[in-house]
Amino acid sequence: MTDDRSIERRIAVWLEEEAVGSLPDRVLDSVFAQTRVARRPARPFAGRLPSLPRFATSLIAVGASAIVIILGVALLGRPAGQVGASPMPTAPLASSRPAASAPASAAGTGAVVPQAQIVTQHDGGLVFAFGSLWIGDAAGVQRIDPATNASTLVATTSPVGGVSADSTAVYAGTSAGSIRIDPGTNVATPIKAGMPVFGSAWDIDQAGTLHRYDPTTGKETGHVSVQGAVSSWPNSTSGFGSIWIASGDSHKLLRVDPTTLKIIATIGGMSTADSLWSVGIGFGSVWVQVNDAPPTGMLYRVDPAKNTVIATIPVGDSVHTGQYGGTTVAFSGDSVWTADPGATVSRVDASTNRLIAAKVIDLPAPEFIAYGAGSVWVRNQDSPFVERLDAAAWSP
Amino acid sequence: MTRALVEAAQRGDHEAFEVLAIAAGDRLFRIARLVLRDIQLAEDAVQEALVKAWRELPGLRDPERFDAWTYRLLVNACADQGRRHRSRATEVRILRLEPAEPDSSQVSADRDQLERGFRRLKPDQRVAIVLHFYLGLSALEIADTLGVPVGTVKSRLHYATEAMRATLEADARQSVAAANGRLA
Repeated sequence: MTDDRSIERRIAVWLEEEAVGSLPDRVLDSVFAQTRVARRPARPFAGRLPSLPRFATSLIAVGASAIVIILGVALLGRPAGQVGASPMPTAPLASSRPAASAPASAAGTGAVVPQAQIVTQHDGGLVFAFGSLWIGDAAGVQRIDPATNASTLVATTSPVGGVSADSTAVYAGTSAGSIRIDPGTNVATPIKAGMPVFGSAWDIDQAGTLHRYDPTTGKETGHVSVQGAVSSWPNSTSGFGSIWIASGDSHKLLRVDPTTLKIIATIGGMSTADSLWSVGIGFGSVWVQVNDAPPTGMLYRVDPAKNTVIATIPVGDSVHTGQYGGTTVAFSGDSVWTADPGATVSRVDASTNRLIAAKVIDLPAPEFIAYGAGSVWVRNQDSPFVERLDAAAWSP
Repeated sequence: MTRALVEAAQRGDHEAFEVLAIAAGDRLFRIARLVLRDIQLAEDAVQEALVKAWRELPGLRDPERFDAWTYRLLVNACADQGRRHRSRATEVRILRLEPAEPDSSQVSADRDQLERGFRRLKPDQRVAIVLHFYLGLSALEIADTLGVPVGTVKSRLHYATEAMRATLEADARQSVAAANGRLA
């Protein structure tokens, strides 16, 4: 038996021996080329609301179970070019002021001004369901009331990764296991596996294997290799009787029969860019977003009846920020929404497959996107907040 | 000195940022290389972290925490690289940058075992191991750096260490079994 001190000493010595080499000058040159040319983008809140971080920190420090950060519309208002756009369907944000007096964009950057920022401590997932936004956070799941932007910590648990929802509940994966949250009571219950889909729970491991579990026992009932799929990214979904997995490595969309666990279709004809892919289902189609397919991001519409790509829609911006936030695809009443590492949120008309608008936001690496209550909600990779953006800014 | 540079860089002084980046570059590269076990990915991760540092430096409230903050950016960049290049990374063998010293076979075997054990760890566990055993950060400091609960860090360290111990012991048992087989 190797004792604790021995193994720790061996690890420390080994790491010290392995920690060799210097950062090549070309890497630094590349860094400086990017930072000199791009300069630092103005941050819309940096000069206007300096008290935000302290305010948030103090709330967290006293252990408040609910953190409410309401910003934005109150002081900054509606983006440019939205004259006559319909107001938000929900109640006005608490400290809003008339949109007409608001500045056009964030600190002159052209970025869409957020309506609100919701402080978080961890970059978990987002889902809009049951009239609320649900955010995976460090201490549990935040439930945001879109009428007030008030937050309630509804499940105190370990850090939350993915968040999803079906017609009955919200589900969250935490480092301590999965939980099910009753949206009526906000009570969280540990469950053996993740959200049931087709009567089973599903997971993709890092080796590229799709696992199926019995949701009541948590025991595996089958698996299939889908090598190339990303385990730690929201790039799978379900619908049309199938599990769909978008793979940024194989550049394919895989369709898996949930009963036989056979790959029943491998759909190509999409970008071969080395990029993260996202997949979502809406408007009778499967939508695949490739978020870094120069010169733009790409959104592909796949017909599940034919297993073929029926529309290719350039989205986003060709200006790459150097970040690689992956994003999910979101849906509103008539549109598909994507975000990309060009710090752009795009709205696509689902009836025409045409881009309605692509606008820059003040988040360099959008990681998750959700739509609800007339707003687009975006989490940036690493940034300690979720931004709420008025969907009207993407009006035709 | 560092504080003054950080504050200058926060105000948009690019030269100050360059000094900071050059000073931090090797350290960040070595950490990234340890975590990712791949030189190219490590370079990409450091580049991503430094570009992000420039962009987000104005948001750093305490300039004294610059180092810890860059570690956090780097760790996130490493996770990013790992996600993007996961399948490729598993095919890459590590090339030593320096000529290997004449090793006894036992030392080489030990390194190989540790390498195998480390590669089997989850990304979060690798990060915890590197920050703790290489940088010498305490669990509390790691928690502060990563923005996760200290209990989470302790758990990651515990399970990572146990996993590496299990690998070493399994290898040792196989060696004994092989030796016995040869003897039989």
